[in-house]
Amino acid sequence: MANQPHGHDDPAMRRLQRAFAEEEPSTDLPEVLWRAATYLAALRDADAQATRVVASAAELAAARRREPAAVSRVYTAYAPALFRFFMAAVGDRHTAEELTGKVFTSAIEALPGFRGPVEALGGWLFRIARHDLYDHRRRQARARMEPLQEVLEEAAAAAGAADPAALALQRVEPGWLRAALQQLPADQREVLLLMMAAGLTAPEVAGVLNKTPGAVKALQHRGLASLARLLRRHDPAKGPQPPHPPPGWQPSTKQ
Amino acid sequence: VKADASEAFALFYKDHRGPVFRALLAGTLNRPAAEDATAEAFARAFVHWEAVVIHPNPRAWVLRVAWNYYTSSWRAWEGRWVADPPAPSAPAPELGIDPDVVEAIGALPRGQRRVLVLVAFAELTPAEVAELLGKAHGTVRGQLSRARAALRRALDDGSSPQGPEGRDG
Repeated sequence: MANQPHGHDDPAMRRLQRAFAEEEPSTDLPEVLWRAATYLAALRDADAQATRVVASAAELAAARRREPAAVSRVYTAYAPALFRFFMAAVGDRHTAEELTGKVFTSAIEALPGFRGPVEALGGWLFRIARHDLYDHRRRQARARMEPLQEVLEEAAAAAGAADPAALALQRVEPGWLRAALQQLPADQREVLLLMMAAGLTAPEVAGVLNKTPGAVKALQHRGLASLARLLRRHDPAKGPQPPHPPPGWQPSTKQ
Repeated sequence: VKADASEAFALFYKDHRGPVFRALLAGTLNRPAAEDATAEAFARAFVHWEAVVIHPNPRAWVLRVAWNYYTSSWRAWEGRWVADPPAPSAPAPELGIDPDVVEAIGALPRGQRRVLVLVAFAELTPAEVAELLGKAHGTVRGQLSRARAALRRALDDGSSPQGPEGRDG
């Protein structure tokens, strides 16, 4: 009885099925692959979070008192993500290192005033990072768009070379990615960069940008949808692109 | 082998995207949410492809992920806006779908609607739906038959040329 098809003898069921028969998702394969990369970045971040042992309130308190061991623990926990964020934004390793260091200088100064719980520390650091980044850009005479593909590749390399997220990112044509990201509205681009390059989760991005997680998800969704649209426009002659696996792509499970 | 995996995923997406999306769209009556959840679930299927291919029912795997994602990211968020009295007019015009059908399934309790759309669009058997939802088979069968009865009442209302039962031998 379990294998009997259901609803074919029932006009109401058939009408229900007919009403939706033409519905197809607008998402195409490249967008799905983009999202896979985003999801991997989030997974990676969750892993990082697990090892970010800024564990106890006691330790945070120690960092507030600027005890060197606690401060350096905070530094090692958050520096890689901050560095990736700056790399993706400025595209220059030296500047990214400098900015990362500056965040911690500011953070150490400001930590005694940090009142939030341990879980809020990451978001708080990224708010400082974002502020510093805007400062940096303001100081730069011309706001020139950086070649983002190189930036993201570098960022991926910085995140740890042969990981699938990095490879998934590389499957996208360089010229297309750069052009597409440049065409996105700033808020969408920022959300995508924070999620994919810095590897932040949606709630963290929400904290950084002072938006609700829903708003971040909406921006992420719109950003990815725009990217997908731009991809389709990019090469109308070829039509929908066949999937080309990145060299060396492997499923995430080990072995 | 890697090329095969990627090709296999492309085929898998092509074959299952429609049913999964239709189940989500009918289950949520929210097009952006259905698009988002469908894309997210397939993205995760790509990431966990090794587990998905050996899963006895890959489509159910995707649907479960999509539904959990929808519940945690969209419905939790919707809740804030829907705290006020429910909007009297169904979102039918935006959906571009037969408004009677939308109204009929929109009136179903969430649990019943979910079971109904999984059977109607994802073409799962009640047993598979029970498995997917982690519920007893009897519960799912009960929800399904109540949902179908409600649907018949809402859509047939005696005007069907085949009569209220609609059975033709």
